[in-house]
Amino acid sequence: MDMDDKEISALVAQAQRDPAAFGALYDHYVKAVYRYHANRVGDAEDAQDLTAQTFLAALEALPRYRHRGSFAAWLFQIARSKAVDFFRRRRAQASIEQTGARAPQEPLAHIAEIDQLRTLLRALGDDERELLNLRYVAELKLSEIAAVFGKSEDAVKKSLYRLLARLQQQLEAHDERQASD
Amino acid sequence: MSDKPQIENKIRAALDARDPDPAFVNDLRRQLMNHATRSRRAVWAHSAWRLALAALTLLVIGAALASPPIVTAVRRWFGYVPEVGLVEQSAALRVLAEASALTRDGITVTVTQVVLDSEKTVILYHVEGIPPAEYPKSEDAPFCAASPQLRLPSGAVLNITGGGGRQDNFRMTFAALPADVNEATFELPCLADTAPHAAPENWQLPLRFVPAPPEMNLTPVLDVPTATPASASPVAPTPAPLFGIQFTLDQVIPLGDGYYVVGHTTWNDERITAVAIHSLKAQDASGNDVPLEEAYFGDLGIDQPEPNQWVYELYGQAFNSALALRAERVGLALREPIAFTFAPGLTPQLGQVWNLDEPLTVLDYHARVVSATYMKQGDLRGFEFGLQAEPALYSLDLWVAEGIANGNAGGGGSTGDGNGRITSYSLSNGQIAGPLKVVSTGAVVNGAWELTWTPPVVNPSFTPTPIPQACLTLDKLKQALAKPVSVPQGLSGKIIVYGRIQDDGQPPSPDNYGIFVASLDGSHKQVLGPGVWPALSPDGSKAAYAAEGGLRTADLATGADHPIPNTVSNDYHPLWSPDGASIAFVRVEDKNLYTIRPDGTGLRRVTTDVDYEQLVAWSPDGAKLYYTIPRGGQQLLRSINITSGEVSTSTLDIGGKGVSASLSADGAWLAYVDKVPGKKGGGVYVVRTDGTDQRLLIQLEHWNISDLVWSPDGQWLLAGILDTDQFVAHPMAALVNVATCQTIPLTAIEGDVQGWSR
Repeated sequence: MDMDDKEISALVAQAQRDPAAFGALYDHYVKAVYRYHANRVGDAEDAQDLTAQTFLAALEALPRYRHRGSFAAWLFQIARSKAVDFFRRRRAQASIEQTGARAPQEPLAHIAEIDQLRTLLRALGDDERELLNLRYVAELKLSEIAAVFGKSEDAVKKSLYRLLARLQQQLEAHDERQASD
Repeated sequence: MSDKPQIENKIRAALDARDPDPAFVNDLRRQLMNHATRSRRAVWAHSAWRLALAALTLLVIGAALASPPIVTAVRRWFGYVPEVGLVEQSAALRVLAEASALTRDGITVTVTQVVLDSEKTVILYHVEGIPPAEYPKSEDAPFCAASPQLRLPSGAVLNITGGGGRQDNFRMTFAALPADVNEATFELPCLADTAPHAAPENWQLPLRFVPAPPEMNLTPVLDVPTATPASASPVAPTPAPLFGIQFTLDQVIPLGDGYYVVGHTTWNDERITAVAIHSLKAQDASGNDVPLEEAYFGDLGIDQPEPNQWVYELYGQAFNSALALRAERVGLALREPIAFTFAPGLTPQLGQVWNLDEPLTVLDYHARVVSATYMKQGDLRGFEFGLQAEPALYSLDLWVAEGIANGNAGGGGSTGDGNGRITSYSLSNGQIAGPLKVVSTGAVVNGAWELTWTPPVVNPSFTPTPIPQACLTLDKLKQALAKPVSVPQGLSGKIIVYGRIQDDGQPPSPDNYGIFVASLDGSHKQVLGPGVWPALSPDGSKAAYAAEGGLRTADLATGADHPIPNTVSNDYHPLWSPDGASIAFVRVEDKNLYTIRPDGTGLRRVTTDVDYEQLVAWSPDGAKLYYTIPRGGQQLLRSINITSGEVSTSTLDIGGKGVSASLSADGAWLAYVDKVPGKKGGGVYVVRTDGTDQRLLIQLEHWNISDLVWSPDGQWLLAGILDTDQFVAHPMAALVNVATCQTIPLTAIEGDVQGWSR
């Protein structure tokens, strides 16, 4: 069950005093951080490496965290910077389809519409893909995403809704053309 | 119209983020805690920190080098509840004590069913009575995006973990409730798809749960007692490793007319990280095909199956023997990418071709990249790679991993001809910034894998009902395409097409597609210009079509083109009445059918309910409109008297999508696209409008069929066909004689034929 912001703040404060209390924060966020990295880099090994780097960096920097905004936003800003460093080092292209494996012509996930959606997602700009990644993979709240991007929550909400509407429209247009059963 | 919860769930599925390995999570936690503990005593020495990080990273990498996944304990379920899905057995089931409904401002929300097991809570609910005015006026306007919640007596709130819905029926999944919690409040912040604050918001429905009664409609899931793993033997002429791939059938779920069959795949080759079955088929001992289709775990109420599990729907309850389930092709995800470098320069030209000679080794198969062609599709640009490979290698997915700046990977895919010729595409919306690193992480290989299943009921004397056979099959169509014949002399008339109006050599796009009129052989082509949903008047003298701002008419003799007054943007699907005096159309604003005269006078709303009608045809006497409405996943055919408003419900259930239905000019025959059991693609059925003489006319395996148009004399059917094996597919049309099955591909016509007049 979700912890509310107050519980998270209390945990953070406790972990700042006693690093051994970091475990509870780790337990709460490890899945979201791993999923975020797994979606960006695709390879499980790389995702584990980046997850480890993220939490190590967070543990190191925790004494300097000033409780401005949301801890999740702070943590995912670290995660994002680790991912950027990774790609800068590897010169690899972020690709949604690397999650698991690149789907062959006939989809591994045996859902043709999902495969078409993956094609649409690949064509998105970096910010739009990051928005979807933080929302639907890392499962951050809109306010937290706003803090990560440095924008207002309202701006993030509008961007997300417009993006969803556009994807739905593109998907329906594709369905009309394909007339699949 | 947007369907917010569903698009969000689809995005989650498409992003397909996986959870971390529990072993990794525990190991990292231990290491972090060790560091945290040491940090209480030690100074955070920079050099020590780096060493610790390196050691930790090595440990993490070591833990990640696991053996290929061998599923030793597959997930099994207890029972199946129709519309809810599979349920677990580890705790007693609970259900909704009584339906909970709430009506506000004429809108009723009803929670009709809830099933709780040890892993999840599934809630089915229904919404009815939302006036059209409470939906957004345009596709890009804001709409209700909030998902329902479940509030427990403690005040804790559960968010959905899966589910979705369409139109007015929804199925949502939440986490399991504690065994001692037998009440909750179902909260709907707003009604899906409605405009913000247009409809009542903040709905709260109390729910009460009781143990499931003994008479509950629960189908037991049957464990397959002696799962016979498949043996694998390749069909490649040269011996090839088996990869250790095995398919195992674990459970079957009896349905009213068949079974869900659930199994899993294992393999022991460390070079492979995932295996997908392609085209699993079922046959009895006599070699008769038994319809078998891929099913979705979502249909069974399972949002997160195990990665290597699969489910199919098998049609039929009685068989005369054990069944063989066979696969001849599998998709493989490679642990180590295969790569080569290709330097096309910074400014390649569209259509430019490079001759390459790049050898690749894919597992134990050899292939060679022999060509690259620079191409464009929509806003994406990239390369079509041609490969020659061993026949056992069916396709190889190539994509550009490095060398593209300011963009992201776009479309892609790979297809083979079965004889070692492979075509693979990689597109993006970025610019070439240097030599390209082209990689592959997936391949499809040919082989033969089979497992045997003995159904619970085997009657050796049972004669299975044959699967309907189409007169036009994919093989016959390919033969006709290979040896095209001219359109017969007696077959004439004019067709109107939404298709290619610019011969720019590019894939179809709004830049090169629009409306044109032509003869069946493509001659006498007259381009009308941009527009969609074209329709020809019965005498062939005029066209009507949908455009920005509303409907329009065009005089084919003079070229005069005029808007139809009193029509608006998003009015679509104009259809001329048999006497050419009126035009019927669909108005998106209120989802109703209207008629109007071409000069814009006489606007009349014909239907009045919000039923998402799709227009099919006028009756031959012009008194009625035929249309379909969606009901329970099917399309019901109805007719409405334009003057009196009297509605007649046909007994015909034509399935599929209503826009693919077509009525012959004399009103005697209906043609429509519907599902064909056991086939990936739909098929074209013809039936008399009294419901008799139904037969399957066309089935093209996985190729798409749409846009059915009868000839004016009712002897021929023209079908729109899309070869989905092609990455860049161009719509084509084919004539099929309904009586003789003579097939004539209209190779000169590229596009969707929408009308045919004398």
